[in-house]
This record gives sequence, structure tokens and C-alpha cells, in this order.
Amino acid sequence: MNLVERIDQAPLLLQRWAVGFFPAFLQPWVAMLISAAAIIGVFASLFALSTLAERKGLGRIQNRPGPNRVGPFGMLQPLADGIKMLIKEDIVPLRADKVLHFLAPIALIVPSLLVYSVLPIGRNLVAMQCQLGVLLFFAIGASTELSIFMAGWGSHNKYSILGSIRAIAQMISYELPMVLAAITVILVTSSLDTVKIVEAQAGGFWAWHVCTPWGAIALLTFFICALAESNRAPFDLPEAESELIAGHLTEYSGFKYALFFMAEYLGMMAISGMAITLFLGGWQAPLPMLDFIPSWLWFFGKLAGFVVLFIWIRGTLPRLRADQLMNLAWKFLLPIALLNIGLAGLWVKSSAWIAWPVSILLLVPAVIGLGRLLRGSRPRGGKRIYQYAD
Amino acid sequence: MSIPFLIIASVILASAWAAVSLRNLVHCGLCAALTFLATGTLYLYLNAEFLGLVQLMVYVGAVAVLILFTVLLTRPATEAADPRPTQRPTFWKGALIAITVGGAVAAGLAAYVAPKGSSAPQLSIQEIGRLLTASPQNVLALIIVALLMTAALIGALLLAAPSEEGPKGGGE
Amino acid sequence: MLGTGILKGLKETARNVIGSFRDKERLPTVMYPEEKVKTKENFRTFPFLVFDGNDAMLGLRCVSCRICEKECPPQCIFIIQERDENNKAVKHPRVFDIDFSVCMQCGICAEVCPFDAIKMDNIYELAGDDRFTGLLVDKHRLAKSNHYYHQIKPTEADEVDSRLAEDRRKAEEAAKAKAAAAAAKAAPPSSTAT
Repeated sequence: MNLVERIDQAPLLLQRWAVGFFPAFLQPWVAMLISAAAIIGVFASLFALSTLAERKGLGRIQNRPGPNRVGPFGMLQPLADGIKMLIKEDIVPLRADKVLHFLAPIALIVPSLLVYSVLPIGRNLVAMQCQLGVLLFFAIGASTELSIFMAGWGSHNKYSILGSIRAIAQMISYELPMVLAAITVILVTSSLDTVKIVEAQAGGFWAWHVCTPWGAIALLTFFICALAESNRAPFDLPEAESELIAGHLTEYSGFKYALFFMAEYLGMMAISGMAITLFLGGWQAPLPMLDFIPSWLWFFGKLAGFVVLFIWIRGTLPRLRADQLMNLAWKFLLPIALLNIGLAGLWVKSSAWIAWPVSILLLVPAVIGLGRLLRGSRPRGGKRIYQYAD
Repeated sequence: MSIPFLIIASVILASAWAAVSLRNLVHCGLCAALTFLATGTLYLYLNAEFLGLVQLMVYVGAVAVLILFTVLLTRPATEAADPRPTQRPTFWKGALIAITVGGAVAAGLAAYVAPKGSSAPQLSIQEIGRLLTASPQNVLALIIVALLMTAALIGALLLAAPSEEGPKGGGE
Repeated sequence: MLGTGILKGLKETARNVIGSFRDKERLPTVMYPEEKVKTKENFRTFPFLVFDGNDAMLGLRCVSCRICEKECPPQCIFIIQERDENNKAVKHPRVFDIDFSVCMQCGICAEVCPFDAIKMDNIYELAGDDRFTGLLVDKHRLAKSNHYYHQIKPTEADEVDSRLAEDRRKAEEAAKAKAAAAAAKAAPPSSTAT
């Protein structure tokens, strides 16, 4: 194994070396523990970095520097935030359901961390190679809604319950186009295994699924649904400060709030990871000659690109109203996703020469027509008439 | 009777018991969700990966949420946690039903003879897909189920749609 | 078309981010306390007493006429006049206290002072940890030189100085004329005697 391959497989080699210290009957367990610890360690520190990037990025978008007091360029700000969250008083309302109130953040963090086990971070670097990786991802991701309900109900607060109803409605509405967009990839690669999906996109960026007509639309749909699933702007109705105070997070303070916050960012990065795996070739390099760069570096580079995109969109777009949100999911994204599945089938059954023109011919009127339909759901009334008091 | 099976089975039984006997309705719903979760884990333990994951996705992700939404929307939000039962506990009726159903299940189990020396079939997901779509009767069943669910969805939408009130009065 | 608005918005925010590294207009933040915003000349905060020359107490322009104490709206100035050994009033304040926590920085004391003795300063970094006596300043802390006044408010100080010089000149000329008239009166009274 030369040096390039060693660096590429470094996490795996480290794991094997550490596991070698233990007796044979303990080795599978130790290997699993090391993978779990590595995932938690890496992605929790990525969470800290992304909070810093978010604050600095949003600051620059808003013509201000962002935090720059705590360390050089504010780099120790996540540490200061963490210490603050830890030493804050943990207030539980008097008549709140203590068991539910306590379990909700835990029930949210566990699935958020569990879904990382099927993401291939690099060549041979997946914590659990499962034949049904994509299904596992979506099945476990669906369990997060339960914890939002627990958070809202357990707080014994009208606004929390209303906020959690809205949040759950948003999450289940956007789960559908997301799964349908993933289905197009599964249709074309005829496998649910994330490792095989990444290997099916080998060769260069033209082989990635995003460079196909159905892939581009599916990635766009998946990305919009990812924004909605992780309650990120412009879909952050459940947790925005001016909406129902903080929705289902109203009665949480201190470390539990930090856990919710962390679960949101972890979910954001997990869904980005899945989007990279499905559409952007996972750990593959865009050009075969760039293969000397380690595969996990490509994965994290693409992940960083996604995080930057999330932050950029947050700084740009205003928040959507609840009915605009639901209209977008059911009246726009769902028909486009269904049409997309048809186009993916067309791609598989015929050649690229036929598929591209037919896809564009079908997609463009669909997008424009559905967009017009969406505009129609704006509240009616014609032009506004202003009457000034004289 | 391995240890993981004992643990999973006891979790299923305990949460099922809790789901029917707790006083707070939301706690009952959440224990039902825990039962579904444990059942999914049981399927995964038995190497039926597809079934286990679909159980998690459908039951925990959708049915449990449905149950909890129903509880939420049909009760005032800040009701006291333990509503008193309005009827006397009907112990004997419940016991009769339990004995009947339990007896039927026990009789069925006693009459079942496990085939000797075979293990669970290892079905890959591709084979499941092929089985579902290859033979005509399975495809027919699939399409009928899809039509049924579409009808249910449209019915639910019609029931939930706000009724259009035409302009009243004016005679004719 | 659907989506063009979003792309335009993304382009605008990207311009903001990249521009914030390059031109000052897109990052107007002032890194206080390393950098401070330069205040304008007529920025005023709390009053201070002007003294001419080098000795603060001897050169104080204030003659303890107590007009500012009477005119101050929240009555935050406390003046006690200096008296000498025979208990005769001296044109100097023994005690001149201003309570900065009460002072509302209206500038009326500076407007009404006939001797240009009290002027408005532009200091704002007065935070301290002594809650009760930290903001009660006496005449030693209030006294600042005319040189300092020129530094913070050049045009105003020039105008005050020229006016005071003019007054002094007129007073000197009047005194000279009076002395000449008195001398003229004292000298030839016999020429008009009949």
C-alpha cells in the first residue's frame, strides 16, 4: 500500500490497529464502538465548526463581521457557546410532563446520530454496510417526528403544542417528495445499498447522477426537502423566534436546547451526506486524475459545500408562511417528483439521446405550469388600494 | 431462547401492557409507539431487514404519529393528565374476550408443527421486489391496494374540506 | 420564470460577502474598543470647567456666580463659594460638584455662563464600578485646561478666546480712557474755575 492509499484508508487502518489489541470474541464489539465513537466525534466537531461558519457567514451576508472576540477570528466561539449552554439553568415548567420533557431531546439525538452509520465517508469507510442502507436512512429519519411531538406536548404550553403540530405537518409533507426523489436513484442503480450507489457513479463528474435530467431535478427536490426536514430557513417556521415564540422548543433551556440545536445541524449534515451519496458521487473525485486526493476529503469537501449552500440560502430568503410551505410540498414538489420517476424509467429504458430532449420537453412546461398554479394560491384581492387619512 | 430475544420480547410485552393500562392517553400512545419500535427490532433480529425497516418507517413514523395527532386534536390541549374513567371497570367482559382470543391463539400455536431443520429464508430485497411484481395475482393485489388507498385519501380530503356555503336567503 | 428571484437574491448576498472583505462600505462595523468612531465637533456629553494657564485652581474662570446652578433643569450642580479669613466672598468656588448620574447633558449651564467658565465636554467612556460616588465629580476632576478645550472644539474655543480677548481689550481701553478722564479731571480744575 503506497502512501496515497494509506492516507485514503487511514481511518480504517486506525480502526484495525486499535481492534487488534482486544481478544477475538470482543473484536466485533470494539470495532463497532470505535466506529460509533468516530462518527460522534467527527460529526459533533463538524457541528461546532458549522455553527461558527454560520455565524460568520450570516454576519458577512448582513454586512457585519460575525463573532471575532473569543479566539483568533472567533474560532473559540463554539467552545464559549458550549460552556454557556452547559452552565445554564435547566428550567422545567411546573405542570410539564417530566418524563416526556426529558426524553424528547434524547429521542431526537439518537436517530440523528444513527443515520450516519450508512453514509459512505470514503472508500471502504462506511460504519455499517447494509443492503438496505437508503431505507434505513429514511426509516430512522421518520422517527424524529415523534420526538418533536413529545417536546411539544411535554411542555404543557398551548404555543408549544401548536408549534409541534405545525412542525410535524411540515416534516411529513416534505418527507414524501424526498423519498420519491431518492427512489429515482434506486430505480436506476437497482440497489438500496449506499456503497453500490456510490460505486455506480464512478468515472468522473459526468457519471454522477446529477448530470442526468432526472438527477438534476431530483437533487433540487431533495435539497428543498432537506431544508424543510431540518427546519432550516426558509422553512424554519417551527423554531423561528417571532413565530409562536419558539414553537416546540419554547420551554427548553440549557443543555436540552443545545441537544435540539445539535440534532438540527446533525440532521442537516446527514441529509446532505445522503444527497452527496445519491446524486453527487459520494467520495468520488470529479476527475479521475484527481484520485490522489483522499476519498474522505472529497466527501467532506462536498459536505462543506452543502453546508455553505444551506447558510447562504438562510441568509438570503425570507421565511415561508405555513400555507405557502404546504402548498409548495403538495402542489409543486410532489407532482414534479412523480414526473421525475417516470423520466428516470425513461432514462433506464432508452438511450441518452432520446431521454434528454423528452425530459426537457416534459419538465419545462410542468415546472412552469405548476409554478403558475402555486402563484394562484396567493391570497386574492387584486391590486391594493391605499387610503390615506387627510 | 437467546438473551436478545428475551430482552426484546419483554420490552414488547411491557410496553403493550403499559399502552392499555396507563391513565394518561398520550403516555399510552407513546408506549404503543415503543411497542412498534420493539417489534421492528424483533424483525431486524430475525434477519428480516426489509420488514423491520418498513415496520419502523410505517408504524413508528406514520401510524404512531397518526395516533398521537388524533389524541392531540380531539382533546383540549391543557387538559389534566389523568381523566377519570367514566364507567365502572368492566373486568369480566374484558376477561371473557381475553380468554377467547388467547385460547384461539394458543390452539393455533399448539396445532403448528415447525418444519425440522430449516432456518428462516434469506430473502434479498431484489427477490422481494421480484416476488411482488412478477406473478399476476401479486400485481393485482398491489394495484387493488393502491386504488384502495387512493380512495381513502380522496375520501379523507373530502371529509376534511371546508364546506362551501352558498348565499342563503332570497327565496326561490 | 420560477426561481429567478431566488437566484438574483443569492447573487446579491454573495456580492455582500465578497464585498465585505474588500470595501469598507460593505462592512461598516467599527471594532470598538480598538477603533473608535471619530465624533463630530459639536458632539456634547458632560460639562467641564475651563482654566487658563497651567494651575488648575488658580486659573479657573469660574467666579462662583451660581447662575448655572440656578438654571440647571435637573439641578445637578452644587456650588459653595470660597470665603476668605474675614468671611468675605472670593471669586472662586470652594466646592463645585456635578452629579453626572443626574446631568441630562442639555448644555444650558454652558449657554448661560457669562464668563465662559463651564463648557460641554465630549467624553463618553465614564463607566465605573463605584455606584454611589463614582459619578459625583468635584472641581478637581471637572477642571480642564483651555488647551484641552482647543483640542476638542477648535472653532468654538477660537471664538470664545477671541471674544474674551476683545472684551479684555475693551475693558483695558475703557480703563485707560477712564484713567485719562480722571487724570484730565484731576489735572486742570483751576482752568475752568471762575
